[in-house]
Parts: sequence; C-alpha cells; structure tokens
Amino acid sequence: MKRIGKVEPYLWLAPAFFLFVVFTFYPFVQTIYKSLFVVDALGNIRSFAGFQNYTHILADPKFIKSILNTLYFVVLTVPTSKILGMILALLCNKRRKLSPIYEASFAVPMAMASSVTAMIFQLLYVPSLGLINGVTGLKIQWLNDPKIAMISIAIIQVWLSTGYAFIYLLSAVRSVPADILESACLDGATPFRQVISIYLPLTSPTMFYLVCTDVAYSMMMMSLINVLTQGGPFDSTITIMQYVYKQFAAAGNYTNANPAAIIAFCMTIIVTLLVFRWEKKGVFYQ
Amino acid sequence: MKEKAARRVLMQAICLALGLVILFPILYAISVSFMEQKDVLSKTPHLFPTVITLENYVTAFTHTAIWRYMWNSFVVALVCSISRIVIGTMGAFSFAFFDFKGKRLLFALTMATIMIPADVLIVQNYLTISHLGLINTYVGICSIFLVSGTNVFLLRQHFLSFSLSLKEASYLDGCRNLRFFWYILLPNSVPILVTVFLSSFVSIWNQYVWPMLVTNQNEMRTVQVGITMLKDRESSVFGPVMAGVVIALVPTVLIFLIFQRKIVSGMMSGAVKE
Repeated sequence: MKRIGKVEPYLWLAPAFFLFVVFTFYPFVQTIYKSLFVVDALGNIRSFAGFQNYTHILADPKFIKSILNTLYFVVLTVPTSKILGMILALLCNKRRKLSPIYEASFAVPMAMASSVTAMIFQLLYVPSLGLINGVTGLKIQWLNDPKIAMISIAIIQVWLSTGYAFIYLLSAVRSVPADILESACLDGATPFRQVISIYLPLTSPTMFYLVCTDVAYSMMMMSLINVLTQGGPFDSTITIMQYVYKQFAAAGNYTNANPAAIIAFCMTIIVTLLVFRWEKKGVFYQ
Repeated sequence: MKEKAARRVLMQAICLALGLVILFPILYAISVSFMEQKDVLSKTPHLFPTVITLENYVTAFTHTAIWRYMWNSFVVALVCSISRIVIGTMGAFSFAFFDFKGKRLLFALTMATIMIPADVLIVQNYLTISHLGLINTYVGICSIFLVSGTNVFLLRQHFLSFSLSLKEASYLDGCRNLRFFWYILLPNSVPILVTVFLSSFVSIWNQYVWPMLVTNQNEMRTVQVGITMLKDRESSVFGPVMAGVVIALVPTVLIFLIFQRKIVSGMMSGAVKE
C-alpha cells in the first residue's frame, strides 16, 4: 500500500507525459539532432554533415527570402492588431446598453479558422470582379502582385487576431482603478492624455503578454499562405514554415527541412527575448 | 463619471458600425452563399442576392463530401477535447495535491511544452505518424492534440484554489484519492471543465496544417482542409464554396457566441494575473 502511495502521483501524470515525450520532446530532440545529418527522403539518417546543413540553407536565396518575409509579416501584423485592439477596447471601455452586441461582434473572428477566412478573403480579393476592387474602383492585384501579396495576407491575419487582442485589452482597460482616472479628470487631463499616461502604462502587462504570444504565433505562420498563394508570386509570400513544409512534404528533403525548422525556432526565441527587453523598460507592473 | 446621453448614443452607433465592418467578411460570405452564380462576380458588385437561392447549399451537400468533412472534424474535435480534459485533469490533480520527487522538474517540463511551437515539431511528428502507418486515420489526426500543457497548467491553477483541507477532511472520511478525484474534485470543477472543453473544441475544429499533412484521402479530410479543396476543383464557382465556408464556420462561431463569457474567462485566467 505504501509503495502504491509513492508511485501514485507519477501514475496520474503518466498519460500526459507519455504524449509529451512522444509528440513534443522526442521530435524536438530528433529535429535538432537530425538537422546535423544528411537525411534521406524517408527521414532516415545517411551521413554526418555538421553545420553544413545550416550553411547550405542559409546560402539558399529562397530561404533568406522566407526569413525576411516572415519578419516582414510579423512587423505588419503584430503591432497593427494590437493597436486596433486597443482602440476598440478604449471605445468599448464604458459599459452601455448595446455593449454585449458590439463586443461580441468585435470578438467573433477569434472563433474563425484561418483556412475558412482565407477562402472568404480570396473571394473579396478577386482582382477583376471581386467586391473590394469592384466597390472601390481600384485595380489592385491583391494576391498576384509580388509587392502587395504579403500585405494582403497580413490584412487577413490582422482581421483574425484583432478580436483576440481586443478581448484581453478590454478587460485590462476596465480594470484600471477608477480613483486614478478621477484624479486625472480633476487635474484636467484630456482624453488623449489619459490614454497615453494612464491606460497605456496600466495595460502594458496585458499588451506584453499579447505581443509575446502573437510574435511566437506569427513567426510560424503558414496556413493562410498555403491556402492562398503557396508562397508565390515569385516567392514574395514564402514564410519559414512554408519553406519547411515545401521542403519535406513536397520534395521529401528532410536535410533542408530540419535545420530550417530549428532556425525558425531560434528566431522565435530571439524575437521573444527582444520583446522581453521591452518588458524591462516599458512594462509597468502595479 | 457619467456619459452624456447624446454622447452615449453616438458612441454606441460608432461601435455598432465598427462591429458591422468587422463582421463584414462573414456576412458577405453568408450573402454570397445564397446568391446565384451570375450575381457573385458581376460587373456591378452585389452585396445582397437579387434572388435568394439554396442552389449552392444543394451543390455543396450533393456534389462534395462536405458531410464527411464535417463528421471527421466533429470526431477529431470531440475526441481531442475529451482527451484533453481527462489527461489534463489527471496531470493537474497530481501537480496540485501530491508532493513527490521531481515534481518541480516535471512541472517545468510541462511548461516547456507550451513554449515549443507545435509547428517546429511537425516534420518529425509527421515521420512518427507515417512510420506507424497512421496516415489517413483518426488516430493520426488526433495524435498531437490529445494533451495540452496549457490546459494542465490552467486546471492546476484551479485545483490549487481548491482547499487542501477539503481533501484532508475527505481523507479522514476514508475517501481515497481516486474517489476524491471522481466524487469531489471533478463535480466541483464543472465550470472550468466546460471552459476547457469548449475552447479546445473550437481550436481543434479550426486546425488546418496538421490535418492537411497527415491525410491525403478525400474521405479523411477535416472540414478546414476539405473546404480549400472545393476551390481547386471549381476554380471560379464561388457560390458552393461559400456555402461550404458557412457550413464550416457555423459550429464554432455559434459555440463562441453562446459561450463567449465562459471561453473568454477561461482563456484569461490561464494567462494574465490581474
């Protein structure tokens, strides 16, 4: 009986850790390990290559392009959706009669799948007869112009992620203490001034959390691209994960896919660390 | 601080208008799904159908495997959500109520699974699944979604707020761990379990990359993957595709609208401490 007592906590954890090991830790270690080897089309190790695999893909202009595109995508989407989310949260700050209706409508995109959303925007983006060009009279090749395509994809991502930011920021904005706001009002602070000196600092921990999670998510972006452009036109929308996917799923090239995935992981860590530096300086904890 | 009446009306009007703008893509998709083909891409763009037709839905249901896709998605989302609850509560129970060697390390490892992006792992996970011969099976699609470190963490936080004295009291009454878990802990955690279930269901229903990777037979596609295949086959025929899109988005959007409060509060209690 005593013995069972000692193993019992491990038994409760066993199913979770079985899955963690098989589908998280094992593949993580394997991917790092295999990234140093030449690997055949079935994923078996052939010969040791060391860091040559890394230098090889880093010399591939397509891969460099995919790194730059991914960073461009992060820069386009992460700040935009946070700023829009903040504006919406400030507009909704006061509880009003119709609050539940418009708050829900701002948040709904959270429940939308990226592939379904991609299909809708594809229709809106049709160049000749699509709704956006049709109504505005523009002649933009939304998904076919190499200069515009990534922006078009970013717009979809912003649409998808603003609701998420909004929901978090709304609760942060509403938890700003009323006495601080009242004394600011008495001091004659303009609404703009209140936003800059009260709301932004006091919601910065939430903002920090949102930026961290969204950076990690956006660095791995591929679903929208896979549905809409497959990385084209002229590799203008290829992201790192799309590159990885093309290498191993389309070409069976695991020798390139593994180091590329590891580079994606390292870049995510680096960018996240940069965000953490901002936390030291700019995030205000009460 | 009170808002003036005029200002209050104005602000609500602005917010409602913004809400419409944000909902526009969804509303447009619904509208197109009821349009005749000639209205969809016409010289003068149509916001609303001139004639309401169910043709597109009929096409979607009869000419595509959309029912099958929906069923696949439903099975996968249901199995994974239940598994996440069962495995998650068990793990969280251990972390919250036991003291044992290596607890801190195991907990740190659980947190580490949250930090490692699943996308980085798909290369090797794909190999694992294909070596096991699980391509085109429900097991293969479900495999990587069966447990979530985030859920373990969330449930642990919740269980920690459950007073330890209650456990000790039930112990004195001769209530063993398993009985405590089943008869006291779980029934008292129903709200959080519902939250975990709903948010898991929505997020797994909406998965795209992994289900696409591990299926190549049409009848094993989930709805998110299947929907993108409709487009390839019928290139510019958007009506039936939008009907499919609407069918695919209805379950999760409905769940979200009905249980918004529950889902949102669950997400937040796991994330930000404020």
